Amino acid sequence: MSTYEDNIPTVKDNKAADKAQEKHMPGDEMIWLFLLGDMACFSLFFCMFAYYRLDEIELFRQSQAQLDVNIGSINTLFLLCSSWLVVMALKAARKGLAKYASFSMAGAALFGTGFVILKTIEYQHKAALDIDYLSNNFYVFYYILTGMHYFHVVIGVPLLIYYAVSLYRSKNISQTDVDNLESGALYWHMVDLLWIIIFPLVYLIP
Amino acid sequence: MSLMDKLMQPMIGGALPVPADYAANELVGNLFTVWAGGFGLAVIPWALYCFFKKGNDIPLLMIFGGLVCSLIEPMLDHLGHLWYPTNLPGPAFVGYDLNVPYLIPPCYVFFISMTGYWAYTRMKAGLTVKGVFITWFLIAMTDVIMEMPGTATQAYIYYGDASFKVFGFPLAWGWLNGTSMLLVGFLLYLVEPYLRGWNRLFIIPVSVVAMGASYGMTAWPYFMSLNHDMPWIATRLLTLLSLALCLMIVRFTAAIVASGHEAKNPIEKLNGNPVPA
Repeated sequence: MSTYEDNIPTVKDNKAADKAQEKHMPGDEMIWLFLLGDMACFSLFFCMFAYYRLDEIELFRQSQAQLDVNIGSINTLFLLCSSWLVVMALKAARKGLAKYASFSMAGAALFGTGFVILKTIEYQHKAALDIDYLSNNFYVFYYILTGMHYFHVVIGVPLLIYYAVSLYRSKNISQTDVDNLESGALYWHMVDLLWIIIFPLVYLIP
Repeated sequence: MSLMDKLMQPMIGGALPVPADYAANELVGNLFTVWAGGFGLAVIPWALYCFFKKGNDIPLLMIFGGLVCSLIEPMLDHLGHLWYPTNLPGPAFVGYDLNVPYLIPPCYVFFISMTGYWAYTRMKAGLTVKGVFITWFLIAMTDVIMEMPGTATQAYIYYGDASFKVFGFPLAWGWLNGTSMLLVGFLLYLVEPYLRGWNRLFIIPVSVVAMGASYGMTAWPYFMSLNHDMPWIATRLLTLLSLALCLMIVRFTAAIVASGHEAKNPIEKLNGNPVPA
């Protein structure tokens, strides 16, 4: 028969619990695998960009000068704010504050939508100037890198909206909900991180 | 042209050979090869880690399964009217007079087998009907993310007048591929508990069996719309029929998965459930 003393956590138990807490991997294991694959591919793209850039430095500079740095900067701010709001939403969800988490997630989705709108405008400007992905090698990279990133955002925004709506409707947040949110947040942070590299690489580096 | 004329406009079906002069921009071709194939290569170290460190053999066996499954690709390309440019790195193999590029086998490893494995892990953890539909939707979106950059830059093309194209990508492939990957996970979920010892090797054909079955069940109306002569409106309706079939299959899958939240022995669980009157 267990006594009261048996049920009191010992220092050893607490250490084990702390260790388990430390080892907790946020999100689903498979989302990490997806992020690994995605980032491995983008890393190769960045290396290829650097290689081709060295080969055609003047062409890359001239083409880069045609890009709209202002739109790129605003989009960077949008994604940073959006990522921050996702962090706030996750923190709130862990504390069981469903409404607060929902509003934060809705804000993140709003910034994500702003990114999509501005990026679409940027693509339209390029199309009006008769620039497409076949114009030169710089624009191949420009369209592939920013285009693939754009698709990631387009897929991610409905995901954020879904989270916002389901958090708003939920009365209590389960651990499974938090795990799912963590997976979504990881995806969104990767989208943000990729842009943080793409923006200086394609728009800024002189 | 009146609306009725447009709806009844005859569409000529049938597959066409890849034009000899169809070539992609070389850089685009290389980038897309990295994109579609890179994921498949990136998972190999992880699968080895799972096998040697965790004693989990499923990812490694599913990788072999994905490679075998890629042999279906030329049949799908032929029926689904897809052309690969003549200058993509490859061919890995030839089928139906189509050169299948190097990117396809590793692409199948990730996008068929590994996404299927992901669906399996979610089913194993316990999914509701809604959860199965969300899983299906996410898988379909993964396919869209992977394919649209390729079609938008013409690294490969879906030729002809396929229904509901966005950036050159027929949306039907999103729901067809999403369903096939979900069924890969579902079949694995059903059979894996029963495979012991050398029988574990039967995990390898899970991908190709489930994917083939899925296309047989859901893709035939879409393939009809591409390969038979018919009015324009019929091609669109048949494509929508393939969506309806996909939703039906996902719902059936969800009914079974949701009935067995404790997933250690799903078939036994199914047998124990009386058939509703």
